[in-house]
Amino acid sequence: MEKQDKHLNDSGNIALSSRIRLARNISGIPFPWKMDEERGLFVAESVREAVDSNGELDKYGFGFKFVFDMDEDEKDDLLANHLISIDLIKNPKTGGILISSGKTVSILVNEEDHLRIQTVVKGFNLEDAWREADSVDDLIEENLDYAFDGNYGYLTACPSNIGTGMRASVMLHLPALASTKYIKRVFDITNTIGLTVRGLYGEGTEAEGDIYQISNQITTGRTELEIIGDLERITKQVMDKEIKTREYLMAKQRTRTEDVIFRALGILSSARLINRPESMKLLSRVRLGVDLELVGGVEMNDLDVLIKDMQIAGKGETVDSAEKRASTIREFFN
Amino acid sequence: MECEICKAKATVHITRMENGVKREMHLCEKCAKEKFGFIFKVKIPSNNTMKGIIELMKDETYSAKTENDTSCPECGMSFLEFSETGRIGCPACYSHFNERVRPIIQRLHRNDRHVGKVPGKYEERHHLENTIDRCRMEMDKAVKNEEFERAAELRDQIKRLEEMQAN
Repeated sequence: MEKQDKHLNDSGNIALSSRIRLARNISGIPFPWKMDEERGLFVAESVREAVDSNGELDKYGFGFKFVFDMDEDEKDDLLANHLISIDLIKNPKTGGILISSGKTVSILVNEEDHLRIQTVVKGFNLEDAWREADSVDDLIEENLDYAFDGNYGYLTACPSNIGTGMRASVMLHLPALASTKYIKRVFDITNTIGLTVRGLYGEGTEAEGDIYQISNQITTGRTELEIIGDLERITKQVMDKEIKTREYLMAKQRTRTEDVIFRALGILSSARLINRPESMKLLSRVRLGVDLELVGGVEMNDLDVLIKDMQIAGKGETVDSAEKRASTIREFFN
Repeated sequence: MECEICKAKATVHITRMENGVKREMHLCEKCAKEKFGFIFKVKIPSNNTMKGIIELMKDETYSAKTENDTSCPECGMSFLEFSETGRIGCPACYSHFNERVRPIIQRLHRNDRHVGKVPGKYEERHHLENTIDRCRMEMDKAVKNEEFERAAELRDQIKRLEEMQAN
């Protein structure tokens, strides 16, 4: 029992990752949706040059790639890892990406803005993600003139990002909370204080696999650290609520909870055809089981890799892919 | 319905939880503002995104046509285009459409003034501009006080600073 309590209080497994994204644009050039191909290529070249010519950025080992040079599998992989976005793929002529060798820092070129500097760290650690993004931003800026206004701050293609240009987000696995009505209250509360909760792939997407992303909506009028502080406070409350709900489920509905988890495990280890939504739903339950130490012999890290692989979106669902998915999952659990 | 505080017409209805008990309050705008320091007259767009902006632009307050609506001289974007796409054309649009865009920014962020990070280069420029302004003021004062030697020194300093600025 003691061991279990320790685990319930460990928020490390609830927060999957923390991310910072900074929107930046080059002064004097129209935003990507409004510029011609020639200028788009000029922007891509300028960003590449600004990164390559700065020795202090060498340690990241950035590599550049245009969208038109990527094959479908590569795009899917980058999408699943949240390194690129669907919006970037929609700009195949001039869109590109610089990715650090460790895949923790990426710079999207010609997505909605000229540059989107993104950092991701494991678990709940927005401050480290911010420090990294801030320093990469400083170094890039040495060789690029950003569009900046003394009053408005960093100018962005959409006024919803103006000011700091920063979107901070934490990805949370909330299986217990999602099974209660409280999840809706979380949405309502975060909305009134300038934060938002979204599904896995951002705006308008479903919270597949009970994975939610909490992020700031307000980007100006507060400093980056104040925005991060607000987000941290709310995230802690949400994680706390998830832990309390898990405790409740274990104390009052243990058999039912175990049943839901082990049925999920049963299907995953036996099914011959499984589509993505179902696999995500069931994997989420098993993940909860692993976290509650009900399901043994499964490493959380390995399970998270499997979940990430199962997220890979993009292509239409076919019997083939459902069969392949089921077989990958079966192999994992047997 | 009457305002619970001053008996004027209640237009703000607030539901909140007090010690786990749901409590409804009906207030007039003035009392609501005094009590809570803010009122959301209209619902804040649920998503602070392009879609949210397009939704917002359906409101006359933000989209009403004015006679001197001209396109941005830099990128040619018209205000209508912004209303339809929720996107700004280029950095210069922000000053060209300032009067129209500012209320939207205020609405989206409840604020319009950036207080966060400033690019290093801008900081230097900003500092240089301030120093030149200060020197000019001092020079004017020196001339007024007939301290011509000091005024000449300042004039040379301003010249040097302006050269730095041009570079």
